[in-house]
Amino acid sequence: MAKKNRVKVYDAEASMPDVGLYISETVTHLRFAFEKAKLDLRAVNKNTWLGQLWNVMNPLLLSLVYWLLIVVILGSGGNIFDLEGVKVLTQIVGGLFLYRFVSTGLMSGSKSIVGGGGFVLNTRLPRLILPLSAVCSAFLSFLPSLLLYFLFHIVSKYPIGLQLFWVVVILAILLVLTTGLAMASATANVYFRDIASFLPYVTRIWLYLTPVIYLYEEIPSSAKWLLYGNPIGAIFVAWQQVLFEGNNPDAKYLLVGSAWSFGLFVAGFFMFLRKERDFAIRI
Amino acid sequence: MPSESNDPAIVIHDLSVTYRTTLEKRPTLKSALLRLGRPQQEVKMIEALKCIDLTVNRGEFLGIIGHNGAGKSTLLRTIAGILPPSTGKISVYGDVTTMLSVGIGFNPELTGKENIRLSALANGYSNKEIFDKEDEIAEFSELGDFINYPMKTYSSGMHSRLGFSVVTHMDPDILLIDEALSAGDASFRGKAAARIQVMMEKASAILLVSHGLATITEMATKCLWLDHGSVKGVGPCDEIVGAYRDSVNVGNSAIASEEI
Repeated sequence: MAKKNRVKVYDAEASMPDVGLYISETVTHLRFAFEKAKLDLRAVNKNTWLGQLWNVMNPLLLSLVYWLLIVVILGSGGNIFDLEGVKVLTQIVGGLFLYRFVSTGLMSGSKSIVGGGGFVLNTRLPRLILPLSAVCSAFLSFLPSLLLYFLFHIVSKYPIGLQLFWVVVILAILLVLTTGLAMASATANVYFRDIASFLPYVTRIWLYLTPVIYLYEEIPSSAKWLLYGNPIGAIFVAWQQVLFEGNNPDAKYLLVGSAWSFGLFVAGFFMFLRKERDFAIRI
Repeated sequence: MPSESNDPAIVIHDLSVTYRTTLEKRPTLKSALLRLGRPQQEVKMIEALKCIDLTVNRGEFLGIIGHNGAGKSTLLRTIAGILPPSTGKISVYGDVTTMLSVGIGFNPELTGKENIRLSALANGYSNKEIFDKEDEIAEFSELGDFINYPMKTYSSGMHSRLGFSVVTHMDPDILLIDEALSAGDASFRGKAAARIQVMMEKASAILLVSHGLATITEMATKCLWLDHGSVKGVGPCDEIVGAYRDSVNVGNSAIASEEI
């Protein structure tokens, strides 16, 4: 049970909550964030016939669309029915599944505070719980699709070995990055409600700027800087190196990815914290 | 100044809460861009609370009365730490449990049981404790089979019954209730009042906002009358409620005493 007799002081002079206290309050409620994420996820597809399967179906169908576009219409990347064609599909599936985690986390994170009206106005829990829970939801719906991906991986005979453990590291980096993005966009969306409407287009363009449906080697050398200037660019290169090349990822990509991820997390966290007391008034 | 006390639960010193509302109801990027370089007009300041000084001691049950828009709910929200004070300072000695607006915090797509779980987790209970409490709460709410249905199928009375049952089973230290006793039908209200009496023995302080003046005189140990954001009177319930009745000229009619 929660500790009793702790003094809480709300002072008009303080512009920001006590960071240490805020973090410890958030940590004690992580279990709640997790359960909320799980139940929210369950609620979303409750009334559909396929139910939870949609979490996997959505990115899978999208992958098929891109695959048809690339292999059938553009006629590159081999034949639909030979191994080359399947390999291209696997590569798109792997990239899109991962990208979808980032974009879903970002989008549902951006709506978490504005959409959490009752929660913000009527409970005393740290508001940070809301974007955290949104990212958690996105991650939980990503996990089953990761399993499905490995089925593709095996069928298309991509290399299997110890290097696959790097997947865990890459996911951890991306989880931190997405959380930072969710905190920042949740804060921004309180002040500019248009952001949530822009985001679907932003994420679509971002998808094309990141090596997701194409390989990083296909990027012309004049545009290579995109891999470093794009917060998720380097991480997606590492992802492709591990999965499709069967190598350990280059240290420079991991480092650049971690730097982006750490920077965005810290920026998002303090942006959120500075404004968090204002949310109840603004909603 | 707050009165000197050995054992305060809540000390409020010179509290004011001011909302700044602009006429553009939803702030958008466009309006921010259009406004660039020009001073922002159309700003309305709403002083929801003005210079409140108040101390609530342990063991006290404070009833809060006042007309609509007097700042009652704002006061509770500020004590809960939801709204930041504009000036002044609030010290709260203990953990606050709120029941501010009936059924809020619930996800309508989830069942009553799932919502109980979420609320209990939000209040820091472990899975095992929740397992023990779940049935007790469900039973108290008298929802029957509805407890396993999504909450969007509930009537508003069922909503508030569940909300009340959840909050009052959380062993709160300091409990803030806004209009919760209007929940449900006559028989449930009797049960709710009895439940609050039980909680009084465990909780260190309860603050109740109600328009049911009879409820306040019957249950509260002290009464606060808010008028346009200021304290109009604090003291024994009979006295304050009497003065409030006189000021709004309703007398001691049954209609004023209880919500219809």
